[in-house]
Amino acid sequence: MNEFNSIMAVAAILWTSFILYTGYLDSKVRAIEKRLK
Amino acid sequence: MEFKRKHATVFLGALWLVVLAAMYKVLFSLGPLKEELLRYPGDPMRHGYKIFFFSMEAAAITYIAFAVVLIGSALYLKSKDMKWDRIAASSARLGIVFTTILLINGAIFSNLAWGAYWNWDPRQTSSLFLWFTLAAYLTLRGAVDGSETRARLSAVLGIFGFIGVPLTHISTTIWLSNHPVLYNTAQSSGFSLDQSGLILFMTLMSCFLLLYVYLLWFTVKIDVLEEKSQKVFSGEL
Amino acid sequence: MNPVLIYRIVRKDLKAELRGKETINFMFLFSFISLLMFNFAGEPFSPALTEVGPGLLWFVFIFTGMLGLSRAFIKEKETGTLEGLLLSPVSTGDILYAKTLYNLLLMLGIQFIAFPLFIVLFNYNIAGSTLDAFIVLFLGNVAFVVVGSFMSALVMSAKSRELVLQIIVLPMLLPVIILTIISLRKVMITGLDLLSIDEVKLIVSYVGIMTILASILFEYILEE
Repeated sequence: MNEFNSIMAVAAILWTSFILYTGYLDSKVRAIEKRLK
Repeated sequence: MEFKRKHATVFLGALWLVVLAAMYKVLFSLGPLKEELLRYPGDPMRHGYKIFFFSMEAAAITYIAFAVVLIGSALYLKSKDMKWDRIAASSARLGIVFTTILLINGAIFSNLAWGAYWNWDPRQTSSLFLWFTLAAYLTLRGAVDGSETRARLSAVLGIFGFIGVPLTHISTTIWLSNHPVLYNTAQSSGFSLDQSGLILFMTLMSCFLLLYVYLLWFTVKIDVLEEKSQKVFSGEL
Repeated sequence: MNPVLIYRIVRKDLKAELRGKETINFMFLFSFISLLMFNFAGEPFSPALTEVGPGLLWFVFIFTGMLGLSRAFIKEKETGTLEGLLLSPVSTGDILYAKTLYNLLLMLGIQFIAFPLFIVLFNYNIAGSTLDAFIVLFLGNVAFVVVGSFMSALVMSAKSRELVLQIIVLPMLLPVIILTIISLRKVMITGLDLLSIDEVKLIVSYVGIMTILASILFEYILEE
């Protein structure tokens, strides 16, 4: 993997992990909201 | 709901835009490394040094997450207030996400700088050690029933587990590491950032720090609501 | 800390163990079998075995030790004798020291058997002093036992105890494992003198830190 791809990969991993994690948290919130209805 | 989901989305969205902008600047506006700092002609570190802008945050926040687990665990044992247990647990969950990121980024950097994804460098091995410590903590939490017992036992493990952080520092000084450092020491040479680089770095660092704090608060809130909703569901409340 | 009481608890456990011999037999047989199997990992008399020998030897101890650890506290929980101990005038710290000492004695026994077996089976020529190698093994075992006994007390209340114990204790032991293997290799392969090995001093300090932490935190485990 050349330099540029490596940097992109590193940045992308940071980015996607947090999108995924916040998405996961969001789904948890939705489940709670459903239960409280 | 004590917090509006919309607020969370707006705040996180804004943070992400800042991060994206900073990332873009790092990738395209920062120039390559100066000639004399390269280890050999055609050193991928010419542009590869920019990875540092992303991996340093992961390391810093991993350490902070560990510290929060330590403090939360200790405070729980002292006060028996479940709030501290929740903080410690959330920090551990966030921590393992950051540690995973640290490991993957470290492997990519290691491949770029030294040609192998894993090279048993003390720093790399220590981050793996940190990962396993958090995994053990979360496993224990999963295996114990009863919130009081679980909180108590994981607090003990949380305090023990913190030793990984000073160990990381020690291992990289006594066993010479290839890992580049920010400052020049007798053993390794580093690079220093100029003005614009420093600003970018500080921006990214504070964004991720803010992200960590916010997510910590958020997950604790979710845990509280989850407990309440469980009670409502089972008809207690 | 009451040495007399500690001695009495250790003696009681040893007596109980020697009567049934269940754990110690298992540990001995297991160490023997694993030494055999590790031997098959390379060609006999090959330099490869010399290279990895010290590491394999230490792994035998770790695995055998894990086997023995599970028994110490879990046995107590199952037979319900822990409550009896807690009600007696023994301080909780002493209970931990006694259990740790008991485990250490078990490991020492295994050491006396497995170490010579290793030298014979692997046809190993120790470059340094044999006593030094033995001492390094002993120090590693002390560290293992300190961390392991504490952790086995911790997982007493968990579901699927033995499995959780493995997962929890291994990360905490990782520094010890690495340090011990490095020290063993330095003694056995390059023949360094014990006092000149940095890693040995690190093991000792690790033991010190862990003992202090364990004695402070032990009472929180037993709170019920």
